[in-house]
Amino acid sequence: MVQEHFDVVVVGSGFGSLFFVEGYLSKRPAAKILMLERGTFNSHAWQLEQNRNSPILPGSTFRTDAAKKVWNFTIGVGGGTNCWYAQTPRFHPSDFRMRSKYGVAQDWPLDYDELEPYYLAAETKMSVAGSPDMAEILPRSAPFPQPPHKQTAVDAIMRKAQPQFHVPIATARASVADAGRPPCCASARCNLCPVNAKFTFENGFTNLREHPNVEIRTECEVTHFDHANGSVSAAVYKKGGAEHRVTGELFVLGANAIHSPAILLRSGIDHPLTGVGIHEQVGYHLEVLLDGVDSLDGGTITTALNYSLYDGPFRKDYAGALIYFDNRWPHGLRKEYGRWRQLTPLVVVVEDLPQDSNRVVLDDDGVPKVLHADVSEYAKRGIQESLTNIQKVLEPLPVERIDFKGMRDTESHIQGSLRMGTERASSVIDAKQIHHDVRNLVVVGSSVFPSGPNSNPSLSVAALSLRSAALIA
Amino acid sequence: MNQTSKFSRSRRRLLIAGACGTVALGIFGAASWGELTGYRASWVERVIRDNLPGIDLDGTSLQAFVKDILASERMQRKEVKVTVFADRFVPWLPANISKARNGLEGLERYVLTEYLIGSNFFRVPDPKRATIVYSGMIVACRNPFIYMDAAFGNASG
Repeated sequence: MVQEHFDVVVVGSGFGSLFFVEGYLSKRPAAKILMLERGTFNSHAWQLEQNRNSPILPGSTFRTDAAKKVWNFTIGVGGGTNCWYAQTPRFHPSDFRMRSKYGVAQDWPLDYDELEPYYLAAETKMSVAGSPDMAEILPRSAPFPQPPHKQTAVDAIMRKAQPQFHVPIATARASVADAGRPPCCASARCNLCPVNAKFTFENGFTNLREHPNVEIRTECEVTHFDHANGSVSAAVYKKGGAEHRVTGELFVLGANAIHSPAILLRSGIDHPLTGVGIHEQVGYHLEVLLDGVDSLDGGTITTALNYSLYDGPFRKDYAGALIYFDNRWPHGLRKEYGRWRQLTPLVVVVEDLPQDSNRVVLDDDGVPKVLHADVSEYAKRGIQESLTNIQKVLEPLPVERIDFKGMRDTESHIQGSLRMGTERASSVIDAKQIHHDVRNLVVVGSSVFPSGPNSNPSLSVAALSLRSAALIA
Repeated sequence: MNQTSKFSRSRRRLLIAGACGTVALGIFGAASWGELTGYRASWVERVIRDNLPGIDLDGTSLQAFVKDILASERMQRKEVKVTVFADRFVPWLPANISKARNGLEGLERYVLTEYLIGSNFFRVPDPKRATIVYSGMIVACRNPFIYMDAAFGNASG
C-alpha cells in the first residue's frame, strides 16, 4: 500500500464534515486535507435526470430490526445537502438545557448563546432567508442574509393573532436571486429542487471543490481506524476492491449517525455509549379545511413555523411540538368549485428522547444494524397532547374541519448515537466534539446530539462543526 | 323411475348450473377486465367534468391528460386500480365504508389537482370565459397562486 499522510483526514462529506473543513481552513489555510467519501459525486443535473440523489440506496448499507422505521440519508459527495429540504430554524435556547430545566434527557455541554455566532456564520454561508420576527423566539445578533419568503393568507391571520408564536420560517432556499442561486418558486420537491434554489454542496462549496489543499476522494468506504494509546494513526478504507490506509494528524468522523458508530465499533474504540440512543423526531400530517380563506399563495414549500406547543414547563412531562405551516397540496386541492385552495396542510413534529434500547450495533459480518423498537412514551404523550391542543392553536382561522392524514415514515434525520457531553460516563465526545478516549478524533454531524430538539438539525450541525473547528484548529 | 346413470337429475342440474355460472363469470370477468382500462380513462374524464361544471375543456388536451395521469406512478398502484374498479362495479363499497370512501376522495382530488395545475385554469383571469387547455405535467414552479391575487384579484368562484 502507498502510504499517504495528511494534516486532517475526514470521513464523510455531509454537513458536519464540510462545515468543519470550512472552519478549519479559515484558521489553518495551509492544512492539507483529505475527505474520504463512500459515494460518488452526483451532479444536480444527474440527480434531476435520474430522479434520485444517489445511485446507492441508503437501506442497502445497513440492517434494522424495525422494518417499518425508515432512516433516510444520501451516500454521495455532499451527503445530506443533496436530499435535504433546506429548512433551517435554529434550536431553541431551552433545547440545550433539557435536564436542568425539565429533568429529562441531558443538557448539552454548551448553550445557545455560545453557539449563536456559529449559527450566524452558517446562515451567512448558506445565505439563509428569514424574518427579523424570528428573533423574538430565537435571539440573533445580526439580520438574516436574505429576506423572508412571501407568506400565505393563513400566515397573515395567524401572525396577527399570535405574533409571539407564528413566524416566517428560516430556510436555505433562496428568497431572492443571490449567491448563484435563483429564488425558490415553490415547486415543493426540495429533495430534488428543479431550479437549484436550495443550498447544496455543488452550488455552495465551490471553494472547497477548488481548494488546492483539499482532496475529495470518492468511492472510498472507510471500514475502521487504526489506533493505539488514545490516538488514531490511520483510516483504513476500501476502494476498487483493494484496501488502503492513510495516516494523519487529526481525524474527523462525519459518516452519519448509523455509519459513524459502526466505524468506531469495527475499530474497537469501545466507549460503552457508542451507537446508543439513536433517534429522530416523530411527525404527522394534518389537513385543515378552511371556510372562506384562500391560501397556498406563499413563496416556498413551508412558509411559517408555529411555536405555540414547542416549549414550556409541560416538557417535563411530554414532548413539545413544532408546527410547520405548509404551502403545498400533498392531499390535493379541494374539489369544491371555487374552494380549491381553502385549505392549509400542517406537519407537526414532536421531539423524541434518546433511549438506551435504541442503538446501532454490528451484525456478525460487520454491517451496522439499527435496533429501534419504538419511540419513547414521552414522545407518544407529546403526540397526543399536540393533537388535543391543535384546535386551540388554530382558533384564529375559520376552520371547517381538521383531518388527520397519517404518521410520517421519517423526518429524514438520524441523531444521537455518539452524544456529546462533559462527562465520559454519560457521553462519547466532549464539548469540543473530541472523543473522550481518542484525543485526535473529532466526531461531527447529528450523531453528536445528546437530545433531539424538534427543529431541523442541519443548521445546528453546521454551526457545531464551525465551533468545533474554531476551538480545535 | 329407473336410474340409468350414477348421477341423479338434481345433481346433474346443479352441475350444469354451476358450469354455466362459471362460464358466465369468466366471460363477465374477461369483458370487465378488458373494459377496465377503458373505464379508467372514462373515470378520469368523469372526475374532471363533474368537478368543473360548465367549463369549456379542450377535448384533445383532456385526452392527453388522461393518458398522462393513467401513466403516473400513483395510478399504477394496485390499490388505486382496485379503488377505481370498486367505484365502477361495487359502488356500495365507497358509499358505505369510510376507508374506501376516503381512498376514492383522495384519488379524485389528486386527479383533479393534476389537471388544474397542468392546465391554464388558474392562469387565465376567468376560467368560465376561456377554453381550458392542459399543457402537461409541471415539475418546476408549479404553484400558480403565488402572484395570482395580485394579478387577478380573488380568483375563487
